[in-house]
Amino acid sequence: MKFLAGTWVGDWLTGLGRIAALAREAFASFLTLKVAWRDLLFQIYFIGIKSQSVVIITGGFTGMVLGAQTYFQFHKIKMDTATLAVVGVSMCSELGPVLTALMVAGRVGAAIAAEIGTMRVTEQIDALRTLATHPVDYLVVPRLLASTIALPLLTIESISIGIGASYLVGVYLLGIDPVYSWSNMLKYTGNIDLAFGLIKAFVYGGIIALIGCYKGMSCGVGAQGVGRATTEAVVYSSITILITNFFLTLALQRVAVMVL
Amino acid sequence: MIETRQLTKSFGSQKVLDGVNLRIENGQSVAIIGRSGGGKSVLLKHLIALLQPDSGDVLIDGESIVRMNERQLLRIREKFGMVFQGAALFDSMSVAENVAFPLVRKKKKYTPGEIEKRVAQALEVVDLPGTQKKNPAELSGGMRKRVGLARAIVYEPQILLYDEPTTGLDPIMSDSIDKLIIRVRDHFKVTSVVVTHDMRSARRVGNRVLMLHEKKIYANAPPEEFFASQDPVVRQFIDGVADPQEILF
Repeated sequence: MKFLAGTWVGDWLTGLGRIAALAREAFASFLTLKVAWRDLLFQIYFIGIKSQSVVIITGGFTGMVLGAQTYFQFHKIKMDTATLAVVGVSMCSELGPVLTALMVAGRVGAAIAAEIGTMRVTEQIDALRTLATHPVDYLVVPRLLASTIALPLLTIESISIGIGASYLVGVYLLGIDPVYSWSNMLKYTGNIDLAFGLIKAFVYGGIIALIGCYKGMSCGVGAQGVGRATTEAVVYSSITILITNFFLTLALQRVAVMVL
Repeated sequence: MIETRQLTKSFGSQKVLDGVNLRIENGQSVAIIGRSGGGKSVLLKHLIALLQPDSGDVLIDGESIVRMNERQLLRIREKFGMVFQGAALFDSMSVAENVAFPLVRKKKKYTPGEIEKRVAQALEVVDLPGTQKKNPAELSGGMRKRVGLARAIVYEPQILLYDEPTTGLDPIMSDSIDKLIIRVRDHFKVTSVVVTHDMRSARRVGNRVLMLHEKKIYANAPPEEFFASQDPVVRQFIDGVADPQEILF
């Protein structure tokens, strides 16, 4: 494998290996149950509560535009009342978790990388180590747990707001029959769609926190290093979420077919 | 006891330490001096395993720490306190929270009352009583270093490492930090390792002075002997005379 050293493929594989090692270390630390609960609660507040405006706007406007576009196409073949069903399935299994994760990656992933990166360049992480505190226990585990707890909750919120906004646009702006639309949505949107969305949100929460923490802890020197780590955290999290989404959809679909 | 054996470290193609051997007995106070960028801080960070050597060994009380992983090192690091060049205070916490941090994270559980008392005592030792509620951003450079020292001594470690404690401070503040290092050394009977290029500080805080030159320990002597040395390299450093060939116009 020496021929890969110094190439972008080698760097990419090294980074992947280090993130996997960080995840393993964080999981082992979590099993010791020495989580700093105060930090965990603060991180849930920071990731969950502070992301409200981003999630509400994303969910609401995605639901509205999806409802409107679906209606414009379905109206041509007189299937107006199927609009909300399409919105329900799309929001639950794809758009809700993916768009919420992308928005949270932009806000939270960047903040995690910037905060930990600044701690690294100002020797605060070294100070933690000299005070006999493992940086993974203190910095990574609370953020990872908070992110995997908060993202499914934010996704549920985004889905609910998206479907609600779509309903309002469909019924009050475009004149779709409310009873048939709602009934069709309940008929075609199964619990499995919601379960897909929540599993995805859990995985994306982990991706955002892990990449943010990894980029922060391995950032270069000075303000430039922190800036680069922040940008890379957002870009790599977003790309990883989009790629993972495809494979996760296929895998979950396969599992659903086998189980149901 | 702290010991290094044939310690070698490079960053990329630049070798910083090349076979450094040193031995610091318990209770000793050692000043490590040398030119800027000469590897003093790198050597100090090896003593607490913040950096890993390319080759060689570091022993703390006879136990090698070079091949330990980060979790195994937690036990060793409980013996240490370190004061960083930039203080490295946690800027999201108040002064009291910074000083209390090691006590809160310790296996031994302290009651909130005990923590409060110990924090107040540590801040008193560093002449900063009543600053508990301040934020690190509100403090001057000297005050930040003193809070860093309070954080390092609050759990009474056996070994204290100081990374350039007087750099960037005015002479009066430097004097106050030096006196503080001596007071802490004598009060807590700790082993002290002070990295500095402040000659006055090196003369006062160390029982021994070690000079790092050309990636090795070049001189190792008690302060009186060291400062009386007629060795041209040592003399040049003590007198602060630049080599004419190094002056670029």
